[in-house]
Amino acid sequence: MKEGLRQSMALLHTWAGLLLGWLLFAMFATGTAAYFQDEITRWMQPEVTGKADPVASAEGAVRYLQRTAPDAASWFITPPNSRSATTQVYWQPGENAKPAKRRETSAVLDQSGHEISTRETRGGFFLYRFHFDLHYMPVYWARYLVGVAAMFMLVAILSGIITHKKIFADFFMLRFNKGQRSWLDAHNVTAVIALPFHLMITFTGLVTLATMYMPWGIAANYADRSAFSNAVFGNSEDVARSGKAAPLCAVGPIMRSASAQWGGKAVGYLRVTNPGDATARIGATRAPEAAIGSRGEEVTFDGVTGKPLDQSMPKGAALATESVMIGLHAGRFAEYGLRWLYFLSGVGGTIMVGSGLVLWTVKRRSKLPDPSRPHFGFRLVEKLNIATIAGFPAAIATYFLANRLLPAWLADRADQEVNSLFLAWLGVLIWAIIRPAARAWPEMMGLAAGLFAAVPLVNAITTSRGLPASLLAGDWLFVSFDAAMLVLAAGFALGARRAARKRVEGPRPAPRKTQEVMAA
Amino acid sequence: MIHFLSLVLAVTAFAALALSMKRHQRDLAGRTLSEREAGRLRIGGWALIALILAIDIFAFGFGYALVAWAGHLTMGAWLNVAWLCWKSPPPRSR
Repeated sequence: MKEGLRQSMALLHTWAGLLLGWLLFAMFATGTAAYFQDEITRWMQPEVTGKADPVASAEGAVRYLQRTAPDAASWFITPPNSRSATTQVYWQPGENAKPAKRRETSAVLDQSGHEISTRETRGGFFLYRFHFDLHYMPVYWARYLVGVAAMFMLVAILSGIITHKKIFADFFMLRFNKGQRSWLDAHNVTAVIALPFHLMITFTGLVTLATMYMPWGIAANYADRSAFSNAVFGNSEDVARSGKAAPLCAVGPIMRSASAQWGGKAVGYLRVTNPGDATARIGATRAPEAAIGSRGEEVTFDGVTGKPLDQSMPKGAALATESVMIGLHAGRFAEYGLRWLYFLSGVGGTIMVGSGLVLWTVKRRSKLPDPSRPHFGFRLVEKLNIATIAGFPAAIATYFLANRLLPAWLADRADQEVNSLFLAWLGVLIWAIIRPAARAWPEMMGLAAGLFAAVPLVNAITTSRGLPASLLAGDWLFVSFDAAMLVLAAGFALGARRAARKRVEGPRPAPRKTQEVMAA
Repeated sequence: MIHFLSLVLAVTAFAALALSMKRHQRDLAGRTLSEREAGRLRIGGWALIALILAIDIFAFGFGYALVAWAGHLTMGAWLNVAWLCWKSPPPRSR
């Protein structure tokens, strides 16, 4: 009976893990990178230096918006946090304005409220959005796809704990050069050592979009979604402009007053409705980095007198739980020490998914009727593995390289950077398809290694913030970024060498007698 | 600094737990340990894990500490895996 359960769990683990495994790999990789999205953005905007004061930046942003969009329906201002140096603004055009693209109603500003003159890039933000919105497809479909993948991941983790029964006995086991056993070790050890992280990140990932995946609770109780969000988040309803002009009060004192109410936690977000009108309102939301819960408290002020109007109602238990779960997932509250732990756990998760995918082929290769001519399904998995495990990291490296190499005058430069990522990915896929797998593995791992190694080099040539200069200047963000690229390059070079050696050694040894009946 | 302290303790804790497992004793200690020694190491390892949680709570507050604790234990375990890879006999036994 027990063996029956394990067998069926093994089957579930194998297929739940495989079917969307390649997507999961890309989600894990970009999600891990997104823990440093602000740092990646700063690296991708090397012209921006120094720190910015959030209050001065918000005041600068208001000056910019008063010049650029004085009759907007509302302004959204995200002043810099402790890790970034720029202000993001976005505005909703007024009633009479003609509809505009998002790009025309948003800007990135410096502390004094001028648009920054840096290369156009989506920076780390793109990797963050790809993590759940993917690209080249409607966001709506992407989020469903990502949700299904995350659900499979959760199934794979839970069934995996039952399938790989020895993970706790093998807790410290990582043996190299033992073929299938090594892959199993790598898969088990990356899974079990960060098991709390994997469970947390998968479950909370689903929670971030839970109301989209399970909309029926809201549908049954509220007339529409905005009625729901008004009831739950207390979003103040839109007030029509009175037409009576009145100057907007200063935002600095408002931010300080809000911050004082939250025991000194910073303001992360400002929303100004009906700016320049007698009915103006300013909403201040607590910064997500100031506490684990990601949905911060909010205070609304009269936009003319600056007097506080109302506060967001205290959260119920369910909402507070949701807020903390999303916060745990995104890790915005984590300072650098904990942020690195998040990042390294994410790297472990990426390796877990990758080694699981490889294990699928390694386990089956020895059982093939004719190993030199595998069947279509096997070849498909093998080639997708190469394209994903070697190809996606190579594509991310290309994204960083494109940021340094594409000329600043290029039209739609930010989009071209993103396109270069996918072109590189496509290139590796094509290479994997036309080359025999045993050759494509070392070649593409080598390519990824080369591209990562090229990043610090190209950075040193094209900017004044190369590794020697940043080391001398104590510019730790740039030092860490370049060092991370070199570590990745070394990791892929090692992988390429092992894959190449395997090829020279000829066909794999016959299944060892120690081989366990274990599905992966 | 607290991160560093917790990390060092986590490495020690998992080293003790690894040493308490029969299969790792020859690689790490060069001999098999008695049942009694292994038992002490096991208790010591788990006690250290609890101590790290206490230190993290003291330093960071309860919620943050739980997250940091999980991270410290993960890294502590990883470093022991690396140590074991280092100490294991070279795998030329094909």
